[in-house]
Amino acid sequence: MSWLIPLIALIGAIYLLAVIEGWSLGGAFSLARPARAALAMIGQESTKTRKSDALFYQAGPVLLLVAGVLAVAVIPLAPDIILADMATGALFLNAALAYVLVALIMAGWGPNGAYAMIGGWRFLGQFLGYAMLIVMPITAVAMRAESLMTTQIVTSQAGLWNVFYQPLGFVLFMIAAQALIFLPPLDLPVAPGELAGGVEAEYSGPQLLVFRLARFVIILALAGAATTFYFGGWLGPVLPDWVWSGLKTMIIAAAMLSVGRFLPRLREERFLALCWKLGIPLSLINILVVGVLVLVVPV
Amino acid sequence: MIGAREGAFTAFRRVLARAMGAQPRVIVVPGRDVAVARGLDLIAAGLEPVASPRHANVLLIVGPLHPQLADAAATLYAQMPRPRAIVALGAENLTPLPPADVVCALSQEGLREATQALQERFAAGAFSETVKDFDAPALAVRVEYTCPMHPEVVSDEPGNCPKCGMTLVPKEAAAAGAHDGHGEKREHGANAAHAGHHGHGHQHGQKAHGGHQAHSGHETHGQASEATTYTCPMHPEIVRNEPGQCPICGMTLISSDSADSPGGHHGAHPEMGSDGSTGHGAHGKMDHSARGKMDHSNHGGMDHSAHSAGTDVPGIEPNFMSMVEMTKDLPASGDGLRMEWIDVPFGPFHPGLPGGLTLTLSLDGDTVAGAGLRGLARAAELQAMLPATLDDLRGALQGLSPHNAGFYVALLDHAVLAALGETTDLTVESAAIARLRLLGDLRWIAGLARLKGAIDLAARAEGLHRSLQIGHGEEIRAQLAQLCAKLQRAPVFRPIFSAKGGPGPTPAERLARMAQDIAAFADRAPAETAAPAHDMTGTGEAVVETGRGAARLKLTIKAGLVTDLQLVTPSQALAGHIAHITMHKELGEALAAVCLLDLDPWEVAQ
Amino acid sequence: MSAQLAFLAFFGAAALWFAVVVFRTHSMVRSALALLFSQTAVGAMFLVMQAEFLGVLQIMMMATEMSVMAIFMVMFMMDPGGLGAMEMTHQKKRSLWAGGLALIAALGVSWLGNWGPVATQLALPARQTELLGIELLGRSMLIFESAGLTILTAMIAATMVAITPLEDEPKKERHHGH
Repeated sequence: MSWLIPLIALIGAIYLLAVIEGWSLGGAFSLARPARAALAMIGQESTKTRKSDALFYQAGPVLLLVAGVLAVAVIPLAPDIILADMATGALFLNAALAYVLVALIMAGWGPNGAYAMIGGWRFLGQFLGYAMLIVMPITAVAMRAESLMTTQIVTSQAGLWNVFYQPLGFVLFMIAAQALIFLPPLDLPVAPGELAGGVEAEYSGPQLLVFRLARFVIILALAGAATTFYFGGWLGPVLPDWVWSGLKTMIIAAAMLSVGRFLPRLREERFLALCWKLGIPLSLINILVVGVLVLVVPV
Repeated sequence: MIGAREGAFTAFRRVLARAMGAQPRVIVVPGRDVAVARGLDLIAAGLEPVASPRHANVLLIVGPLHPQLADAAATLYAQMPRPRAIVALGAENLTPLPPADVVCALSQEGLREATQALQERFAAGAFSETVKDFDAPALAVRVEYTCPMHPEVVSDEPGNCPKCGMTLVPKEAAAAGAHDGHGEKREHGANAAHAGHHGHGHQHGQKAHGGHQAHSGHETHGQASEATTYTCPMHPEIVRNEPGQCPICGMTLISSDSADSPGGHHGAHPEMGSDGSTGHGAHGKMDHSARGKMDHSNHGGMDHSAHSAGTDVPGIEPNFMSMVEMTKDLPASGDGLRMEWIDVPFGPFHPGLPGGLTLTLSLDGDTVAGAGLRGLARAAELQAMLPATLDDLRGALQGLSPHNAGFYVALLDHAVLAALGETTDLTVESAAIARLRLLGDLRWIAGLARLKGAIDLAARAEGLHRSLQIGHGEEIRAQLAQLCAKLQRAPVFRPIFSAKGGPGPTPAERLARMAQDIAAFADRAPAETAAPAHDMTGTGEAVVETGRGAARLKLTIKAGLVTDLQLVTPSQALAGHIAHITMHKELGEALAAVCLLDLDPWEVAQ
Repeated sequence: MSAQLAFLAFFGAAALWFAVVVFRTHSMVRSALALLFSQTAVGAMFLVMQAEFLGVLQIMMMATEMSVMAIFMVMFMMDPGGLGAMEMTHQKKRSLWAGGLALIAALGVSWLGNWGPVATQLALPARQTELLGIELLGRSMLIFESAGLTILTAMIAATMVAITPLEDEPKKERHHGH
């Protein structure tokens, strides 16, 4: 039954996130909104495009969901509430989230539509930008914890949260996370104004629901990862540990969802230039600084 | 409901149907900008606007459906998953669409009523045992067969290519005249596009050959006579006086004039036939400037320097189709890579462009290699109704464009005034014009913000637009000034509003003008119309500065009837720059450049 | 132990099946992604064999590498969707020979090689990762660093070759070599 509690927590968190997203987009706070939207999607047809690559078309959203769930599996809600406490947890998170790229390429290629295809390949370009920025800050986190195990990463922050210990790494990680889950202003593969939904544009009905669901799961995985890596996971006074990690995760996820509202979309080449010319050197500096701190200052 | 989904109306499906009706997701025809111009607030009415027809369950038509958009609207409707409904606000004739499920007045009140009615329609008939398929002429698909190597070879029946003997591959072509609403499902689809699209580029390359005198010289190298020569489709350096086989690859040689036959192009791309002028202009230009040089060096090298080694790579089968060989005539991109191009239509209902505007971009990867534009050209209709009374003309001008009708009416008034000899100053400047300009500016900002995904800015601009529209403008003067100042200063918006050197006023100039207008405008302008005598005669001209440039109207009135008129709008001139301003730009940037022009589709020619 | 063996066999079969798909499909994208999933299955085999770090690394690296390869195939190949039924193969005999010889060599190495005694006691995953790190930064450091440098050089050289400006493009070169 150890998997039941995280699963219930996951479903509850997804619903809450959907409420928050509706609030930030539509203006009205409505608890029924996500439920209605989901029911409406279940009731609709799943359209098929002509000459689609049916296998990719069907598999894309499912793979996205699988990648999200696998990523969530290594995020601890509390020391004992975790689906898989792997010795290589932090690396496994990366491995699972790498399949977001594969899923989007499949979903973009599958429907045989120009908007979707451009969206899918755009994400590959975006990936080239963020890939290093997600791995290198995690390296610095693992250096301090001297482990890739997510639970050990949390306990390593008992003295001082990583967000204060390595703020540079935190900023870089969050930018990369925003790009990984293609939230605005880095929503190039979906780009509602430019590509009419891009990768998502051809999906309807239940398939669209799976796609949207997968997106929320990945947002949660990333917000959970940020909590684990930088905000001391379940660590906190008074309240039970799972409340702390849940609260932190939800706040980060809500921030990720709403920040894009105020910013125009970043162009792909600008993002790539920023990531490579600025982001990679900064993350190397971050590793160096953390390395020195780990050796010199015992916190 | 006509758009019901097939199936029994079970208890569970009743729950689903209720959920659908409670939160309708709408796709707006012609576009959200038109809804804004008509003073509608979709979100306040409980509707959720979406970007793709696949995500929508309601087709919302705001205002009369322009006949040229009818086919595209039918395609859009066909792309929506069932159960789907049509809401018509102030629109009567919807053919070829099925009759609307809900018809209401074109007002916020009407929109609210429609939302209520939708709820009932979905709850009562979202699922039905008997469902009729929606069909329209625009949806017909013709399958034609084309050679992957020779796109100019188009046949109605399967078979082999007469040039290279390859099996022809089936390819879907839209019925003539059909313009896909969202475009991506048709022959422009990724896979199909890749098969056919190589062809597209190829075809352009050949056009350049045909049109280029010096070039045909190369092709018939060493053959001074103009007699028909035979050449290999794969190896242009092989030129013979008589038919036969290519010594390099063994293909049947084809006569040189048939190689350049342009006929296939029209067959393969029926859509391009109509708007070919702009598209071809763009390609032609590129062929000559960017590629012309290369063509020569390329062919020169092939002809003169030991080219025969070109394909005789030891160990490779002689009839192997080398990528280098096959792509060498494709137009090259700015970076020198020969990639396949795809033609992607954006519009007429694209969420990031003015509703009604169709932009066709030839994409080389995600870089624009050519652009064509199609609007609705309503201004031309005015000529047809002459001679007309002033009242008729005023009515026609009011219905001409949801965006700029105010300017037209002001022009008419002032042209009549000028005809009466009451004013000598051509350019009309008043607090009312400043207000009209502000409304346009706000829609322009909202459109750009939507395109770029800055939802907050879009919502703010649209909110201010509504207040200004219903006559509460003076109360929000400070907010307008704040918005304008923010756009001029905020670093995040600078990349959008800092474009330089384009046609028309630059965004910075436009924002500066906006700041002046914010200080100058008034909600209620003093009446400036003069009651013209019914039998007046004269010639009058007036100029109004819109946000995008000057609009000009020249009237000739004889005995109370307008016998001649010339309406010059800024969009007409700006539309000509589309190919130039989008060339070699990244897709998103190209769309932003088009959006910055703030074209009125109702003015732009087809 | 038998469950482990069953999983190993399953992922091994999956790896082989995807490998066959790579050559059976006409679609370039399918081909690239089939190779990806073949490699992912190999990664899963590592996991089954309790080499956690290697497995996870393999699964992660292949996803990104093969996706990048897919876009190059789409960019440079005609008919990447495989709808045109074009013949893209060449030098079939040679490649058959080369493939066959490589297979024999690989089988020979795996049969004849001395693999040492079968491990009965496996180190814990965390310990394995640590040992791997020490190996990488110790004895094998030179090999890995020089391999990395070589790959970097090759990447820069390939980019240089690819972006030769149009104007002074050598005339003959364009028809050879690809």
